Amino acid sequence: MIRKTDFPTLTTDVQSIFNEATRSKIAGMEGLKIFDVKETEREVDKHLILHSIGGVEEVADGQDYPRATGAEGDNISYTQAQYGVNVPVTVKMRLFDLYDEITSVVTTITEEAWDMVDQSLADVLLNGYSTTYTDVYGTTTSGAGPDAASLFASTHDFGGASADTFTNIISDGTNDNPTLSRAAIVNTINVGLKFQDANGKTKPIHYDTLVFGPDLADLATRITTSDQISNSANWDPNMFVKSRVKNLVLWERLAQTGQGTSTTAFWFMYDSTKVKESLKIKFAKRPSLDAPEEIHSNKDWDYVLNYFYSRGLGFPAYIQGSNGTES
Amino acid sequence: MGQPNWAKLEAEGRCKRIGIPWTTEEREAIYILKIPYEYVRDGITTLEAYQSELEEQAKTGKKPLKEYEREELYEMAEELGVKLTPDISKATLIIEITDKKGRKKQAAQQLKAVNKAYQIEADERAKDVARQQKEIKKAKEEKKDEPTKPIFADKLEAEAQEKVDALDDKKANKEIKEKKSKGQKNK
Repeated sequence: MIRKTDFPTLTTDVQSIFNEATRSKIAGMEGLKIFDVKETEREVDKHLILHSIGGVEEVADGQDYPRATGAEGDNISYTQAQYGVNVPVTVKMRLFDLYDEITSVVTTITEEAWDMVDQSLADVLLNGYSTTYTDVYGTTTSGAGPDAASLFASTHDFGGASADTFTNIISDGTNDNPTLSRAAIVNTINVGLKFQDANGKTKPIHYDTLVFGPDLADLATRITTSDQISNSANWDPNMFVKSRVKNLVLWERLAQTGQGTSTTAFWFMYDSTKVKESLKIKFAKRPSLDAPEEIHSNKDWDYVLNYFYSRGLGFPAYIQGSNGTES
Repeated sequence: MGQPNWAKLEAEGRCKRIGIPWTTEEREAIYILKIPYEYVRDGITTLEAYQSELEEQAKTGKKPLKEYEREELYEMAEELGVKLTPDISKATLIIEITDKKGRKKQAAQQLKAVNKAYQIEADERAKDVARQQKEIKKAKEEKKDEPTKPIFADKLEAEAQEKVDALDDKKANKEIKEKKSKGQKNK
């Protein structure tokens, strides 16, 4: 029997189960690898986008160095939201020493929490064509970025720093939102290399990572890792795509949204060195398991798993998306 | 999720209203067709519609509110009695002024409509009175031409006839009685 005097020991055990489950979950979470994961102590974080800080000039001997100039773009605020659940260790579990059951409850709920976090990040991409959507928690969520457009839009602007616009919807040169193909990958890489900033200067973006769900995994791997171009007249070499696409990310959660809408045809490309400027997640409190502060009248020990975080968009140029609808 | 700076976006014409982003069609109208955002806010998203709006303005010679500067609109709103703070955006000023002017116009229209309704009713009544007077006059004129009859003439006539009929019955009964008595005598 687990007695009241055993509470500190049980708490240590429960937290170690939680830590173990968390460790193995985080290792497989693609979302946390793609998004810019930061800690914060603020309820509301403000992010300002700057376009092309510059002003470097040739300086004569004795001349004052010029001040840096920059074009201020949009700003966006990320507000923390709280999520949580009780993890009960019931009287029955304690009375009959049901350690297996306790382990199972803690592990399941911990995994569920991290699954929700990961799906909520996948939902940012999968609902990237809408300015509002229902997230995995069932909450109506804003999908608007700093320029009030959805993550993927054909007319993103530079926040007033320029009259120019850019698209981050993948095209194969003919259609927008093409199904996954080599032509579309080549075109996307090309678009990135020619990207111009708010001042009209070339600031290449290297879309070096291909992200896809399970249904596109085989095709994506063949297109990007083959030595030769499949079905080409003389089996041309595939060196350009093979050398440019350095990372393949199979993200299982891209198969469907948190609300169960099938999204198997969605695929994305991003610049692995810059994507964190486009996609952000800020934890005020990472998921943790806290011991109960009081014993309830039913004598259950309710541990609490809770976390605070916010998801948000930044400058969207560093990721390109296609929903595979060819429209 | 993140919230963009809606006030900035609205002031710069980069969203429809605070909390309402442009649709894809509206964004393309602004960024590709280069239609001014004030017109897109009024639902104009094609070049044809924009052209016809400009032609209409040229015809009427009236400058729409969206063509005024924010400061001009601010003064206009103050004159209309709108309570303002310096933070108000041009889009909100246009809504307020349109609303105020609309309400004034609506009140004037309502007053006009009520007056018109009263006038119609008064006209109808006057017509009715005239018609009635005409009918009375006509009736009087028709009665003037008819021969005058003594009062209760019909009644008297009926009574007289009844009496006559009654007299006849008596006469007949008398004759019958006489005949009967004659017959008895003959026997």
